[in-house]
Amino acid sequence: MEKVKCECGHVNPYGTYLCESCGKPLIEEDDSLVNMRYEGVARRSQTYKKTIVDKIWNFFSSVKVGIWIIVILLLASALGTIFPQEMYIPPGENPTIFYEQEYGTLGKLYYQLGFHNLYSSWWYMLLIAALGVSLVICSLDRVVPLHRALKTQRVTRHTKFLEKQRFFATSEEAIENAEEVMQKAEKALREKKYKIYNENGNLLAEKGRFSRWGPYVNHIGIIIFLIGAMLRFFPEMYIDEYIWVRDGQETVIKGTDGEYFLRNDQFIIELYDEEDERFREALERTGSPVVQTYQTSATLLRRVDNGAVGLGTELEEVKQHDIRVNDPLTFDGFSLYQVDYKLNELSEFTFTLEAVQDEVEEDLSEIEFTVNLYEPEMVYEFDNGFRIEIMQYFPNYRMNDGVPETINRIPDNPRIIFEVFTPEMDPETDTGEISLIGVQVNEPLNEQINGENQYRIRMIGVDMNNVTALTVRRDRTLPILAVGGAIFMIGLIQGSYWYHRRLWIQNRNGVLWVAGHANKNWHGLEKDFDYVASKSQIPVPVDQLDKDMSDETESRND
Amino acid sequence: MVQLSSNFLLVSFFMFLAATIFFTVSITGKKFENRQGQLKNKAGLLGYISSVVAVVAAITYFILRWIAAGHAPVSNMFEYTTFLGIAMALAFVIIYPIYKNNYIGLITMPIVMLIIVYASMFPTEVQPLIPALQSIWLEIHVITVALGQGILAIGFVGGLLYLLRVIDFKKVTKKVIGVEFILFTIFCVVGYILFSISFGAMNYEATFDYINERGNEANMVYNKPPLVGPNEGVLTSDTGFNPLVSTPAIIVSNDLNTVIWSILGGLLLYGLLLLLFRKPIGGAIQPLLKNVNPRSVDELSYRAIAIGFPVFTLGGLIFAMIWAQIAWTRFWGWDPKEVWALITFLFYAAYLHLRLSKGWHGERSAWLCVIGFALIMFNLIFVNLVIAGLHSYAL
Amino acid sequence: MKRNRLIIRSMILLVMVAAIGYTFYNHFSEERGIVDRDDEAPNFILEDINGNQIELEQLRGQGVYLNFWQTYCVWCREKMQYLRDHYEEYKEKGVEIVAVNVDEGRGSVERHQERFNINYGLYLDRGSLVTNAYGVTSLPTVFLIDENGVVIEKQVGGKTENQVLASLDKLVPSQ
Repeated sequence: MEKVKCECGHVNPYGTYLCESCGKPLIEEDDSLVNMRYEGVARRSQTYKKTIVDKIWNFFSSVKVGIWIIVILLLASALGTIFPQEMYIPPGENPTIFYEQEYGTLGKLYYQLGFHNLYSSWWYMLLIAALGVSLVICSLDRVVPLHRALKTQRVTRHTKFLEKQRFFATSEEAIENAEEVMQKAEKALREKKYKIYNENGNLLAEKGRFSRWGPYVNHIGIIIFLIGAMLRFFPEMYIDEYIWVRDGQETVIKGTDGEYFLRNDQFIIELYDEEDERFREALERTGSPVVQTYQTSATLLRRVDNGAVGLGTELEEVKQHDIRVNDPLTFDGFSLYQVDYKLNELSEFTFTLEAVQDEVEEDLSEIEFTVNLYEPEMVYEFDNGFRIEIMQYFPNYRMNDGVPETINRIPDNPRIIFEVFTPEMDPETDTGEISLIGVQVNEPLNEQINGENQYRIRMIGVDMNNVTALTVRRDRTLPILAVGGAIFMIGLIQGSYWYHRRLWIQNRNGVLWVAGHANKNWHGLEKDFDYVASKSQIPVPVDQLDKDMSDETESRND
Repeated sequence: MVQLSSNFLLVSFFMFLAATIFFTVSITGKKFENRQGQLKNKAGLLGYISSVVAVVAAITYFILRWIAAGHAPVSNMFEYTTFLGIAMALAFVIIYPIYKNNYIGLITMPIVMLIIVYASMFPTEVQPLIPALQSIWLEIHVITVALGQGILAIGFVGGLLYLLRVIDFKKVTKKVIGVEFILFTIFCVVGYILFSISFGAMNYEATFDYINERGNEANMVYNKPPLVGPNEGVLTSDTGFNPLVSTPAIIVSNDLNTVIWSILGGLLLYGLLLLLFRKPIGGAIQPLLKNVNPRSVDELSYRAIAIGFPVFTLGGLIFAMIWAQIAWTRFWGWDPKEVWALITFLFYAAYLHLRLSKGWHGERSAWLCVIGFALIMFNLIFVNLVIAGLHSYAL
Repeated sequence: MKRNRLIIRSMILLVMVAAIGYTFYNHFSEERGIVDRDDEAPNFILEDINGNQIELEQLRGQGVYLNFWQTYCVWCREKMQYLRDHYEEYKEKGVEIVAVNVDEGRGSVERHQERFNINYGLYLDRGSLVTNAYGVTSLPTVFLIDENGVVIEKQVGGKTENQVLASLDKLVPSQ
């Protein structure tokens, strides 16, 4: 762990490749060129290997480990797209059967391994966490020494440093007007917007250093983004609910603790006009109509606070909005999105009563009544003395082991058991005629009359409603994610679209030494050299990598 | 208006063809350099001018169709794939003046043509937008993604050129097989296009009754002669014949049939060229490329990826998330297309780290560029057509 | 110097591990409901099928067995029959049973009462106001509210008769 003193007098930390001050290579490598990565500074991580903390730290500090994490994450992500994730299988399908039934043995295996929920599995989340840790440690371990090295770099560099740059040349012999050449070169470099540093007649021209920080800035962005994603799992940060609202009805908006309500004024679907010249060909080919708009005209209401929920809730209108796909209603951090709908849900039945045989003397013509299928009245009384009662109502009827019951309270398959009392009957003691009625169902139920009723309730009208489904969403992590994303993008652009370039021109007793380094876009550096050479007769550096290239003829650009 | 815009696309296509020819001349014409020293440069310049004219014509197509349809023409497979080709050409037009490398043009132009012709195999009429797509973010997101992918594709061209230039084709090695496979894949696309056009011109149609994967009776139309038939298929049309093999019900057999025809086409083309040259196709191309400077091509491909990566990330992840939040209520939902965009992002991120920190230059870097482009194409074709997700309406 | 570095590294690692650990804990543990153990039970006013109003606050001093149910929920039915059989007994001990029907019509609830001879109050929550305020997402859900109006337990799902009795016992005010 000893510090290394360079011949220029600078004391470097253990593990330094290139002296931080003069650039002399401190560790001899076989490479003909110096390795300029991180300016040849000592990466601490690789020098302390004592405690378990250091070992963990060093593990995550390795770029190699980072790349492996990226690659594993990549492969794991791909794995999750082989078969659909559980959330994308058709609604109502049972995943335990679906995967095997649809994709055979492989599908079964996929399900058993938990790949149907791969992206929320513990190991996938752990991978992302590892990526985050790796980002933090890698960046910390590199940005600090790199910053120091760039700050303390000296203008005058060791000849070995210059020689081993990829772009290098000397004038071989002392030239007479060396100082004049240097001045001209400096002027040319200033024209090219380089920052110039002088020291003992030597020169360092530098530009675009800030692009070196690009990677670290974008890593900070990703870390902020990941923190945002992490907050998603904390209480109160994220709400995802679903509401159905019938035309003309109000419902409480879930997730708002009963504070907000929504009235669906009208839900509509618009189709593209088949006569529309622009799309006629496409519509003819597909042969089915294409939806242009799903829209819920909605009114947002807010509860007036009176201390208790339930009865006596008063609502005030807040605002109106036409909710469409791509145009949610937003309020108070919440957004309501158009996601689903149901057309023509049964809402009302209208009935009349008639005689099975024509021999009844009562006048039945004025008997007509409407049953609301969401909230039916249970008793219907008429002026002529008839009385009809609902004995049982099943909004969504089914027979379960011989017992009629309802699956839920949505009137998808409504059945009503009616009891009809004639004027002579006493509803308290007598039993009227009983029948079960639904859509295209009308069964007498009185056993004693052998299934023959005197009166028949006939459905004469049906009313239907449209229902809209909206997703209620509040995501308080969005601002954090936006900040993270923005910083990430800035860092990415900073690191990709600017280049760090340095030119060293040294006058060693009249002999000019010229070298250059770019972190990327060597082509641009080459052009800058050509420009300076055209103005000042400095020796034009050659790309020393080209010397290594195979035997064939060299030509830079065709 | 739509007709007019299609005409501009046609003009553009022929200008790309002209550019290809000029770039070819600029390279092969070099033999005559001593006698006609200027020819080489002129052909290169003409090639560049042709490609600029082609891009201008293509952009005119794009704008006219946009006006005609009322939305940017990036909403289905034909429109998006075409625009990807245009974006690639645009990226070339921007990068060419920096490096003045005619070889890049020689490879880019035919690939652009291939992409545009491939796109036109899909239904080309103007389609109405479903509600989920009616947003300004359609334009912002998709155009940015296509530009990013177009620039990344230039990275692929650089990588391919590098491989063709440096790999030793004298012995059959894994690397040679790899390069030959890339070329073979391109031939398969050509084969697909040729067969589709010829059978399309014949209005070929064979229909089958068959039993589908749910055990129900259904029928299926083949646009190419049925080499493989559907599950328990019975031919019901006059054209066509009884296929050699039947596929299990889970496989969409007419698509598989098309894939088989494409591979046959690829094999045929590849075999013919193999007979002609009597060596690997890459080896046959290599002498043309002897003046390519590998280092320069390597840097070009890296540069293209360094420029394209942020654009792709902006369009494919950031804009995508913003739009997804508006249209689908959540910014990220692990939809296959989203996942594959993430995979592409991760892949190029790994590429940049390998190159910067692990010193993967030259050949290894070139292979990665090729794989990256394969990922982009996979995401475009396979994920759209085979793995259905929320994006599947893109057809 | 070296010690400082070790401390800094340990701190950074610790913060990251804690953050990741807490995230995992939240993700993989049962989510806490809007109203849950040790919360004060939100006040509400409801009406039963006979038009009698009830306000939760008026029941201070008694234990409240607050049961959310629907007519077509089989588990609810069984539980409500156990409650019916022991209602009188626990009423004397100071325990009130409040059965809140989730958003069904008055008629259905009336028929249910007749069919099962329910002897305690069946309250109508049309519009699911109270249901949502209590964050009820599946039925049956029961909140045991002590004499001070504090939730001592939230139960989801069907229960045996003995379990119901044990719950009722917990609600008997301790004087």
